[in-house]
Amino acid sequence: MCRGLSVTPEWIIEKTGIKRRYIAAKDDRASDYATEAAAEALAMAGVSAEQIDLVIGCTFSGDYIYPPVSAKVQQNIKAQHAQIFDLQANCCGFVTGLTVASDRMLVDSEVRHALVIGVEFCSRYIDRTDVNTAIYLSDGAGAAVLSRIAPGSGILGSAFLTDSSNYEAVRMRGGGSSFPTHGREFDPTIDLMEMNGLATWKQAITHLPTVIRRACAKASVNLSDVDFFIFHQANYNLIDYVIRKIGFDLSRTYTNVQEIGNTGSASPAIALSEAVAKGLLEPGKLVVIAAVGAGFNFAANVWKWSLKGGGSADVQ
Amino acid sequence: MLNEATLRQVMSAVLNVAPSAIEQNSSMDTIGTWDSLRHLHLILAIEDEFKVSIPDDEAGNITSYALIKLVLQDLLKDA
Repeated sequence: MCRGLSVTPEWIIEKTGIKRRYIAAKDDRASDYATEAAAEALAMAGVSAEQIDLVIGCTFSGDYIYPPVSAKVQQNIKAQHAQIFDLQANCCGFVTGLTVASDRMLVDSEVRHALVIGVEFCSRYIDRTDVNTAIYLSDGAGAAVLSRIAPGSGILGSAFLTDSSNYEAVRMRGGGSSFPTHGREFDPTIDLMEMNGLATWKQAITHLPTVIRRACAKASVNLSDVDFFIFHQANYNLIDYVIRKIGFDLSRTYTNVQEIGNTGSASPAIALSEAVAKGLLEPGKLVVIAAVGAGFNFAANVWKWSLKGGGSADVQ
Repeated sequence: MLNEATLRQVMSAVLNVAPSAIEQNSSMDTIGTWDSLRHLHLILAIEDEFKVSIPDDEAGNITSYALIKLVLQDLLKDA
């Protein structure tokens, strides 16, 4: 990767912690990855596709602008009873999706189980000579199944925060209605991702700890009582800072950004599933999942952890 | 009350420059090693040294010696 950049691998690792990224094969589709993650989550949860009543696809890089990738997943896994929609909150997508799914379950008794998927094909929108994006972004998918549980466990609260003062700092303009692709040549300055690293860094360190504190307050949980944190895997140093800024150390979180890179809205989903597989989230423990995304958007939710069938995250 | 010599020591250690290089007008723009990564370390080191919690909405903005001093003086005024 460094052949096209004016930085060394050592520099990248020092600044980001990222040693490896994944790039989807040319013929792969985001819906393929989403479907595979969904199938694994269903198997882990012991829930059949027929029992899924809601599929939320959290992505900014789905197969098409529309129809939503969640429709393709519904078709692929044969979840014929499920309502579907995609949720675009950039890297906050999965955390937002967990809240939206649990809110739907709270108000609609017909939603028995919800499938929330984070999937990104960032590589399709990256200039490999742009150090601001190429060194971070990666492709991947992760998913969680939410099921019903007795009150007092599952999701306890969520908080969201938006600071749109840096709206233009992280963007992908090409293909949007202000920059349609018809009638013009491909323009890498418009048609690929742009990221102002300094603005992103400033936003993240300002608001990510705040939204975590707010989520805990809304859930009537003392931050100091939280047992474990799952963060959007944007940058190892940022995670190290945030966990220390809120009074903990890295032993209270799980990171895979070093080996996976930043997979956008898929990143907290992948980190969560790996943490579950490693047995890091014990039933009854308080868990916070938090993310920052373009916009800038911030999301956090607080869970009293409970697992059904060994794998699914319970909602209520 | 803020001990500026201690602040300079913390900054020089984190930013890897001589204490004498930390001046009243020093900032991210004047100290080459003061990048975003070192700034994160600096915030945490200052909190550790002075036993304060720098407010989240200040942490990203105090990118000069003068601004750090101002925030620390305020945090330490009752200490």
